[in-house]
Amino acid sequence: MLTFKQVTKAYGDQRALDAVSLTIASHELFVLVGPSGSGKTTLLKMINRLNTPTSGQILIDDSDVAAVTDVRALRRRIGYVLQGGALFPNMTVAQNVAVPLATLGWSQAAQTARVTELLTQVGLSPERFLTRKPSELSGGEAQRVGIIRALAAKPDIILMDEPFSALDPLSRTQLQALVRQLHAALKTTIVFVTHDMDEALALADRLAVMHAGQLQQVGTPAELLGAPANDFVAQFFAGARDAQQYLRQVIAAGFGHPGTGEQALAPTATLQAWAQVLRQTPTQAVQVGPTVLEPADLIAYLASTKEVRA
Amino acid sequence: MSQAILTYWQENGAEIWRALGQHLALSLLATLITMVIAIPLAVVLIDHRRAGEAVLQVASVIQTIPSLAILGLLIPLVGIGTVPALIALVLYAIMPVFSNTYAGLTNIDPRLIEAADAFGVSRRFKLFRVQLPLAMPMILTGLRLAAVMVIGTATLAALIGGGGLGTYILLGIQTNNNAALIIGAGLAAALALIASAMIKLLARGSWRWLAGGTVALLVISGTALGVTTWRNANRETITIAGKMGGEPEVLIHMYKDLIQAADPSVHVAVKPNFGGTAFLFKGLTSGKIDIYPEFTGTVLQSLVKTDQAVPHQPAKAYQQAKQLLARQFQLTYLPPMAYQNGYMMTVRRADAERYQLQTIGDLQRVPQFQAAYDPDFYQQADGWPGLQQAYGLQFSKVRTMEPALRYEALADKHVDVTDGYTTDPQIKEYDLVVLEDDQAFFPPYQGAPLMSTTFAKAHPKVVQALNRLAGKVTTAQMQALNYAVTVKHEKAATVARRFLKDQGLID
Ligand SMILES: Nc1ncnc2c1ncn2[C@@H]1O[C@H](COP(=O)(O)OP(=O)(O)O)[C@@H](O)[C@H]1O
Ligand SMILES: [Mg+2]
Repeated sequence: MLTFKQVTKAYGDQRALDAVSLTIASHELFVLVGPSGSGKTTLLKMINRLNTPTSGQILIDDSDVAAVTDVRALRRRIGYVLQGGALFPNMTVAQNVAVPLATLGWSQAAQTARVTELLTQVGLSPERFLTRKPSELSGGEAQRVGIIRALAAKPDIILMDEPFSALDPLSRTQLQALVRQLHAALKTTIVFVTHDMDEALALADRLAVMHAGQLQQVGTPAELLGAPANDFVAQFFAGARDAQQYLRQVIAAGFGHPGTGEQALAPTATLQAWAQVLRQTPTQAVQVGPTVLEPADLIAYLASTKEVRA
Repeated sequence: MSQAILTYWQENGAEIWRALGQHLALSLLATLITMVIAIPLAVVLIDHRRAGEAVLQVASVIQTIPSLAILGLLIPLVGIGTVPALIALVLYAIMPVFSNTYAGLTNIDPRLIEAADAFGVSRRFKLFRVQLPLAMPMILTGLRLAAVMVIGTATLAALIGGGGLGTYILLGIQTNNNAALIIGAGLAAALALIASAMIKLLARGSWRWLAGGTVALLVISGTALGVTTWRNANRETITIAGKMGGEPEVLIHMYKDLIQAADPSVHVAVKPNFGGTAFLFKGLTSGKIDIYPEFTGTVLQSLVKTDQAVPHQPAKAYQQAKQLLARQFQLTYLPPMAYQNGYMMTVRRADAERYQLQTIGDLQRVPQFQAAYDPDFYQQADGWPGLQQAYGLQFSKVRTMEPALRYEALADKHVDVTDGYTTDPQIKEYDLVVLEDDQAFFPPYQGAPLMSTTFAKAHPKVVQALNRLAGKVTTAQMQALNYAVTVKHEKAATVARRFLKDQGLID
């Protein structure tokens, strides 16, 4: 568990962070989202002591990181992924991935075995990639290598700072899926920083919205979209809410009838969430407040929105 | 020309190879020492930018000091030979190596440094696996610049007895021997190009390879230098140096032959083309050299302090020089040789006969003549301005000209009268006539061995041997000797020995 208590960072009389308090649960994929300059990187780097707060505390499982005497040992337990991968251009892919392993004193054979395993896991063939130099990789490949470098030593926590912002949309979507998949498999705590709300919504178990050094709201994507805490959060997700379709929109469009359904869903639940329910049990009616929505309503609603757009 | 170079190479091949080896060893050692100083310094200062900038400033200031000035400053401190040359070269080379290394180390993509820190790598890992490899292209650029510069500047080592290819460049300039000049300069240039190319190749190798190579080279050159020094330290060595040019070189070889004939057990080291008067005098007074030939006129005009005018009688000039040197510097000035190497005025033989010219005074009769002078002679009080007054001379045109070109201009009839030195071989080469200085206007310039009084007392045999030259070597003989060395390009050692044998001074 990661706890931030009243964390403030001042640069001169500018506050990059202003009394941020936040708890991130173990095994969570937590996203820090906010516009550029809102203090996300500053907050993230405090976890592995690349930055230190002016006041306040950061606790990892109840122990204060400021009290750590061996900073290197602390950092070796925490993976780090930077924009573009930040691979060392003088080393091969294998050497890059093995950096944390070499630092921990793994034998050469153990390193090679682990690197091979990791490459395979992210869909890079070891025969082809082990000896390549970073300059011979595409952006997506380089960032895959950056991610497995962070995973290599099986850290408890992985920090990612805008890892995909320089990638093309297709690679970005693929890598987002990869992160979700790796997180599902490894259950490592991941703190992921991005300024892209779509990315935040796509990845997050929970997310925190930052603005001008202040924490605006913390919650699940559905909570933030459904009940934004203030104008800034509402504004920030406005685009996403337009693109996203919610059950309350279906009701507002006149579908459904009063009654009781077999399963309850919140008005802020998305059409996707509804579709997932229907995939499990295709005939199920869902209860949204006082209204019941039948499976046919989903099809009718989607068809009607299609007509509007056409 | 190429024939002359080939011949010169055939005659001096072994010595040229040795000079090349010396040059290479000196340059290599200087570059390696520079690396050992500059690269760790840059590493230490990575996180101290202000100190780094300060070092950069100091290094650039050092670079602007002329190399001759640095050599001059170093002689009293560390003597002559390899050591001051090495120090001067290192001082010069530090700037390019340090500035490039420092720039390389401090301009690494900050994300890479952050990544290294974030993974908690050791300091050593960060330095040797991240920072140095990433700065390597810049480091090698610095090394390449330094190596090329060092190889070029190392030619100056010859000025202070450090040997190397500069010996042939100086020899070539001083004795007008283009073959020697081209060999010296050509080899130095080739060496620089090869070094540059090799470092470029190195850029493709790995850091470890470079480190290993560096250590190996350091050990090899260190050992070689050590062995040479140790060998020389085992015997008493008398060091005789000479000024630039063929004439001093002949003289110091005569000294050497005479001393070794008198006492075969001593080892005499000759250092020809050692430098200007100031260099030699400093070397002598600081005990780095033991003997060098100096002129009476130079002693009185440049070395000792005196209010008296320079006497025009050679014997008086010598006595005055001897007393002042003994009193002011505790130096012993042995009796001079016969020849005068002073200023003189010269004309073509045809003109001398046609106008009946024998003395400088006779030039009053030929105001239609055009004159060309060495720029120094043209300005100095004891040159043309004084001469013109003393003899009441007037020419239709007077101009200054590069000393080396004056004689050709005279021979080709572009001018009719020039100044020169009485022992210049061109007098013989172009069959010129030297006009008599009947008013004894020019100060006397007689050569004699100069040494410290302590040395003279400790080495009576050396003094005795050198005194055999007193009153010997006439002006005509010296001209002939200079002719053999400067025009015929014979070796000074050979010419000196032949003369001493002919004169019965050695067997
Ligand atoms: N070393 C620093 N010195 C001064 N100001 C800084 C420094 N680092 C960050 N800041 C400022 O702190 C604020 C937050 O920066 P950052 O955490 O990098 O934002 P984000 O990652 O959200 O884009 C910005 O206004 C930035 O200019
Ligand atoms: Mg940032």
